[in-house]
This record gives sequence, structure tokens and C-alpha cells, in this order.
Amino acid sequence: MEKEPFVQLINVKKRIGSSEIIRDLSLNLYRGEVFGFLGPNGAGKTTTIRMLVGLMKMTEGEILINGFSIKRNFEKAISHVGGIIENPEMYNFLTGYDNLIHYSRMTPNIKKDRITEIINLVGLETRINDKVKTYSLGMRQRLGIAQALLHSPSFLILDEPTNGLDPAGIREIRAYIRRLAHKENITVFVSSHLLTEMELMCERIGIIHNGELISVESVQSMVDDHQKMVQFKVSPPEKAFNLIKEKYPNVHIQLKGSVVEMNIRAEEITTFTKILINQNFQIFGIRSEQKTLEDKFIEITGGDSNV
Amino acid sequence: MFNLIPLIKNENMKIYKRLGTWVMIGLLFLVIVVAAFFTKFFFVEENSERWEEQLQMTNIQLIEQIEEIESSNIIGISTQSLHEQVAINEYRIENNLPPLDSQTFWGFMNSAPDFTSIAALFTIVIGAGIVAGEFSSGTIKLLLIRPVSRYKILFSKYISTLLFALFLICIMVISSFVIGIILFGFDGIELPSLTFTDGKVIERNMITQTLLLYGIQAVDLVMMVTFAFMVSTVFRSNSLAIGISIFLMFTGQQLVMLFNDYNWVKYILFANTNLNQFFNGTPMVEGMTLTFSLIVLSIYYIFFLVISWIMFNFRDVDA
Repeated sequence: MEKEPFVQLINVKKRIGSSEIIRDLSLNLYRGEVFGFLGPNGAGKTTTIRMLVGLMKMTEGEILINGFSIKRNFEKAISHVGGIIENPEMYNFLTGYDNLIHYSRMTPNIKKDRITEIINLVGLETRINDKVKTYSLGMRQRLGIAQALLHSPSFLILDEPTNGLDPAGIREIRAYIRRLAHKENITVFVSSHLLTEMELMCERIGIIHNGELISVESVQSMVDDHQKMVQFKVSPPEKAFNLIKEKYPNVHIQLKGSVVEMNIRAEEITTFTKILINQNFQIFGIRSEQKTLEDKFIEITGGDSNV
Repeated sequence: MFNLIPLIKNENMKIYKRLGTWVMIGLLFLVIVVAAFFTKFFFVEENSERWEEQLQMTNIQLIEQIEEIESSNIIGISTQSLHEQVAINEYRIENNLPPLDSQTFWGFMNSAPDFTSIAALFTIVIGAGIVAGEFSSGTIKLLLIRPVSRYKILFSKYISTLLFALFLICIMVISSFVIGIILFGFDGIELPSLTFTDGKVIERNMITQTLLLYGIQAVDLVMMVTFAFMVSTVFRSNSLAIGISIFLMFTGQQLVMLFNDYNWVKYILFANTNLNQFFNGTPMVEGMTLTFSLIVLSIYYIFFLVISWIMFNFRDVDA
């Protein structure tokens, strides 16, 4: 599937003083996909997002949005982007409506109708003329989403979009994000610490750790493909362990007491069972555990995560 | 230039939809009203019927003073302004032009510009908050991810701050005009203002004189507000910008006095902000001229704006 990427991060680096915050990050995002950006606190999520929208300058590298450089062609590049960066901080002393008017003036050709449409979409009709300081966190989040969508962007960046929403609101937003991506062919970039949330919303997930993008995989492959941890209770375990290690050096295998633990695909369970039976091993039990994204995440980030 | 107008509208919305702004506007109006009533009912002026005799008396004293200074050979004290005062007083007596009474319409109109420092104070509060406030509330992040260059946003903020100052001065002019008419009536409204220029006394229209007074004050205001604006963009701190600016506004002149013995003192901003020294009275430092001050002020002004621009345009936003 050869698609033209809509957003490109090319060898992006960020140094502050002597410390490297982002190390050589490259990533392509495509139209119509929801991309999840996952990483423990301090991994560089926020810095990456800030460079993506031009709030921070990269030390090296290039970011292209729809082919326009965020460095050299800021106005053109950013006109495709809508976003919430961290908390949706709005002008508290203004009404929700004035806030939207404020942002609408900064992009050409936003009609009053569009503002009304967006207000209805996020369900703020009854409170839109109240001051933002009277809003609950959930309502602020909705207003944040409203300002991000106001100019019908083709690239939507959402930092913790469901933060502060109630379960019904979360489901609503989730459905809306997916619909936007698929029906209107928008690229959505979501950062979140809620892993289950990511699994339900995203097609692909990138994991960032210590400023490095260490894995980009589709949610499907992360959860299904080689995610099964299968435990064989065999006798004698040491011999079985050595045998498989010799024959299949690529398989991740561990010896845990009388149990041999392998990371294999579901369809490979039969293969390995056959091998063990043919070699006259005694099998007392086979247990397979579905790895969750969380296990994978902790495995990748070395278990020292604090998400 | 076109897309600056919606930005200025935005900044104005953020200024005028705050209660604090209207409290300041109300206070400024109140100051004018209180000053007018005070002038009318509590200010005791010497009997203005016998102004000619009084002026003659004053002149005798002034001439004695001039002689005393000139005979004592003290270097550095100029008698120029005293000479001018004598000349103006003589001109009044010759042409039957009584001095401006505070308790008249023009007297009041000409004293109102003194309150420009209050307008300056309030504009500093606005100018200090207009950039730093966006950082402290976090709204800067959503403001800068629009298809508008940073320098345009900064420029619209600066323009809006100056428009606020203009608005305050308009309030001062209009309220002092209305209250002046109500309390002091039209007596002496035809009298000209006298000023000493190029070695002779000339008559000046009172409207021109009032506008000139506001203009002189406005230079001071613009310099201090631009300074506050710069501090606000550099430190991204509202309170620091207000604190430093107001502190310097009140102590700046003393600072100049303190270092008066040094030649470089005339390059200090505050030795130049009060242009009134060239129109009425003697310059703070000998040898300073209006042109000199205007050049020094423009250099400071450009410096303040360039620093603001660099700091706003090129620094990372990590608030």
C-alpha cells in the first residue's frame, strides 16, 4: 500500500542545553488514520507535539505538513492543523462563544454557521454564552475540541483528548474522532496515557521512550500477531529449552522452573507442541496468555514506566 | 496589513471584556471629577482682581534672584528660565492679559494633562499583561498555532495597548472638557497662552497649548508602556513587568538626580522622557536639547521594540 504521507517528521532532533530531548525521530502519518502517541511522562511526547505545531523549534531535522515546512512556511503548514496542546486553556473571562469568535478571526473564511455547527457538535448549546470560568473540566475539553475543529483541519492533534470527560463523553468523542478520520479523511494524532483508550481509537501506535521512537506498529499486530506468551509445562524442561533454542534461535524463549515460556503466534502453538511430542517430551500443560498493549508497552519501555 | 484588523479586534475584546479594565477607566474619570471639584471649591487663589500688581511684585523678586545668582558665579545654574518668566509677565502687563487662573475652563483643561501619569500607570498594567498574561494562563499555546505569524500577533498586541492609552487620553480630554464647562463656565475662554520662544514672547492658541501638553505627556507614556511591553515579553511575567516599570517610572527622575555629576547621565532614558523641560523650565542636565532627547528616545524606543520582537518570535514556548 503505497500512500503519500500527509505529515512527515524527518530526523527531528531537539537539544536543550547539553541534553538531547528528542533523538533522531522520523515518522510518517497518513490521511485517514488515527495515530496514537504513547510514552511515559518525560519521554518527549509534549516536546514532539510542540515542535509539530511550531511552538518549539527543532535543533535539527524537518517537519512537513501537506508538504509545507513548519520552519520555513509556517502559515501554510499550520493552516491545516487543529489541536489541543496539553490542557485546553481558554480565556476564562470570556464566554465560550467569544472564545470561538476569537479563534475564528485568526483563520480566514469561517462563517457564523460553522461556529453554530461546531457548538452543536460538541454539545455546548446551552452553556455557550456563559463565561468559561464557570465550566466544568469536561465542558472545557469540549470547547477545546470545538476550537480545534473550527477551521475544518486535515490534521488534528489531540493531547489527552478524553481527559476529564465522563464515560459517555469519552465514547462520544472516540466515535467522533474515528468518524472524522475515516469519513473526512483527516489525520488524527492522539497522545494519551490511557492504553485501553488507544487500543480502541487508534490504527497505529508509536511508542516513545527517552526521546526515541522505539516502536511503531499497527494496533492489530501489537495485540494479535506475536503477542502470545505461551507456557509449556514439560519434562525435562532444560532439554526442551535447549532444543528449541538451538532449532529456533529467533524465538524469544525463557526457562522458568519447570515451565518453558515462549513468545509465539497462536498458529505456532501446534507446531511447537508437535516438535516436543516427536522428541518424546512429556507435556503436562499448555497455557497461552494474550499480551495486552500494556504488557507490550512495559516490555518495550523496560518496565520503568509510570503511565 | 489587512489581516491585522481581526487580530486587533481580538486583543481589544480581551482588554475590554475584563472588569478590571473598566474599573481603571472609572478611576481615571473619578480622578478628573475629584480634581475639578477640588479646584472649584477648596483651591484658594490670590485675588485675581489685582493681578497686575502681583505680577510686578513677582518680577521684582525674580530680578533680585537673577542678580544674586549671576553675582555669586555659581557654575551650572542657568537663569534662562527666570529671564523668560520675567519677559512673559511684562508682556501680560503691557497687553492686559491676566495670567491663567486655575479656576477657569482653560486653567482646568491645562492642568488635566498632569493626570496622564495615571493613564500611563493603567496602560502599563494592560501592556504588561497583554503578552505575559497569555503565557501565565497557557492560552499562548492555542494562540500561536493559527495561520498567523508571531510578529503579527505581537504587533497587534502592541497596537492595542497604544489604542488603550489613546482611549484613556480621550476620556481625560472629554471628561475634563465637559466638567470644565459645567464648573467653570466660559470666562476667559478667549485668552491665549504665552510662551517664550526664539528670544521673544509669543501668543499661542489655548487648544494648541492643551494638545501640546498632552503630547509631551504622551511621549513619557509611550516610552514607559513600551518598556513594560518589552519586560512582559522577555520575562513572560505580568507582575515583574508591572513592578519594574512602575518602580522606574517613580524613581527614574531621582536616579538621574543621583548621577547628575556624571556626563553620561544625559543618555539615561529618564533624563529624556520629560520633554516638558524644554518647553517650560530648564533641562535636567545642562547642554541637553530637544533634538538630543528625541534622538535618545527613538534609540531606546527601537531597542525596546526589537528586543520584544526577537524574544517573542524566536523563543520556544514551554509554558
